[in-house]
Amino acid sequence: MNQSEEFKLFERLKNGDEKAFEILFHKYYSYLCSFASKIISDDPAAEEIVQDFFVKIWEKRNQLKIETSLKNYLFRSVKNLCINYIQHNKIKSRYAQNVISNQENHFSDDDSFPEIELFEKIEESINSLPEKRKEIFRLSRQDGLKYHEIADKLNISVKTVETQISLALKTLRDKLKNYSTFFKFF
Amino acid sequence: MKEKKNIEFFNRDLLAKYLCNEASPVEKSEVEAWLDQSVENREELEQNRKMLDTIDTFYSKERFDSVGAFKNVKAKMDPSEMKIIHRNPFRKEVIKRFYKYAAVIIFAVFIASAGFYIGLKNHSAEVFSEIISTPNQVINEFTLPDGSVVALNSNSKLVFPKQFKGDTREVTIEGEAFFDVKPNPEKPFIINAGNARVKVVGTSFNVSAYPETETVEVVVKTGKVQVISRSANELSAGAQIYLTPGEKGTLLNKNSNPQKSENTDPNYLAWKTHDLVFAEVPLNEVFKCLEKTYHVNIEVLEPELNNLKLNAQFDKKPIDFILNVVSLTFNLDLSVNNELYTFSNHKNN
Repeated sequence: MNQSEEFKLFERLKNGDEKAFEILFHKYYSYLCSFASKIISDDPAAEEIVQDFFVKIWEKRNQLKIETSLKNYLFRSVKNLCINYIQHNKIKSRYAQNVISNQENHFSDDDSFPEIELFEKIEESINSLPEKRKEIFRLSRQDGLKYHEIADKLNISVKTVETQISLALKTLRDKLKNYSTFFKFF
Repeated sequence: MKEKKNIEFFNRDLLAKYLCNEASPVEKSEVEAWLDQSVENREELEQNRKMLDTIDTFYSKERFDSVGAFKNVKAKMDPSEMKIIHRNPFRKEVIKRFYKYAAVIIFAVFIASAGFYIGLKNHSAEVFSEIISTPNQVINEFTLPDGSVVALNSNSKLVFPKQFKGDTREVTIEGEAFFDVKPNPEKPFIINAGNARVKVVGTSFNVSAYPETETVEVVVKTGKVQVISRSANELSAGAQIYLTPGEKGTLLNKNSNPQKSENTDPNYLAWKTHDLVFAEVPLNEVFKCLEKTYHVNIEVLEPELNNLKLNAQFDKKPIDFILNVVSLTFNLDLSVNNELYTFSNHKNN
């Protein structure tokens, strides 16, 4: 979905088209949740924030105004909701406090929200890995397992894990090289 | 002198270990020495680190299910409807039979009049109205002062203030009712049912049940309902559940946590709608459902008839029509005497 397609969807949403709303919801929901959860370190609360936000978008669809891009609007809004949540619930994590202090210093971060298209490219690149390498890499990144834990789990040597992760990194780095300027911290 | 190495010649396994926090102190200093060799090397590491961070974000999004979430959001977008039953002890027999097939909201049975107004004590200055349905009467549509619509099953009572003042809209129900609540996020809708309490915020529902001894069941048609076990610490995990359309919450007694399941009874609203669906349902269960829906009594002369299974759908049909269909379907005799319908096998006559 390019920007102009997205803009058309957004216009349909403003006119009360529920289908357009649903398409945009599915495109952004899980990213906004992981973004919010990274800030407040609470998956269920993150989901609640993002869901309520979408309900509000629907209710206020007539008044919606996008200045830069829909993506920036969504991420910036969710970030602000998270900041409210942090202040309300007195969350002390360092990440949360960083978000707050950046906010106080008027640090503009519109550009730091990653492009959804980049994630599609990442998925494609990961899927291109050989099955076993993909699984080892996933256990390391998604489940956060240590090398020796992966080795135990898959009944292989630590050395094999080491090699496979290294090869996975190399492949991904090569495939995603052209996108490296888009890599942003959430 | 150390030889300068770029990434192509550097040990990639080592770099990967470094990025994955797997490097030993010796390996770490080896990588750091390499980093110090050139700006490019450091840049390469940073790019890898950023890439991994973005990849981690990609993986973390998989924890969130947008399909299930959309169901919730959709429910909040629509006006909410739900049904509550709060029965009194005089109807215990009915409940026992009813439980076997019905999955509706059954609020605990606690009819001590002292407890009845518990939920309204904060509003004692207000003027209350009540509507009461008689044993054979269903009040299908009653509009409350805020525009919310209530349907009352037979033998039920609803108490509500003439005007909803303050921060909440509170009503009290005894018996069985179906609520179609008008959304108003600023003024939560609260239903008190004996010791149970149901809270509706905005377009979604919160159900709070405070039963002393009896089972509480909640079925949500649209909206979102929160069922809270009053006796447990409200903040403890498991003491509350959220229900979305099609789900049923059950609170067995005051010492248990509410449990969530799928509502499998398509006829839970039949008392209000008179729309019935039976898919391979044994006749004894069909009859229980009809007795409850139409306030009639049905019996069979031969117990084995109870095992016959009915497949049928009836939309707003009178009871005589339905029973005639049953009679024709299974080739049974049907007699009526004083609102008691009796089925029997032809062969025995």
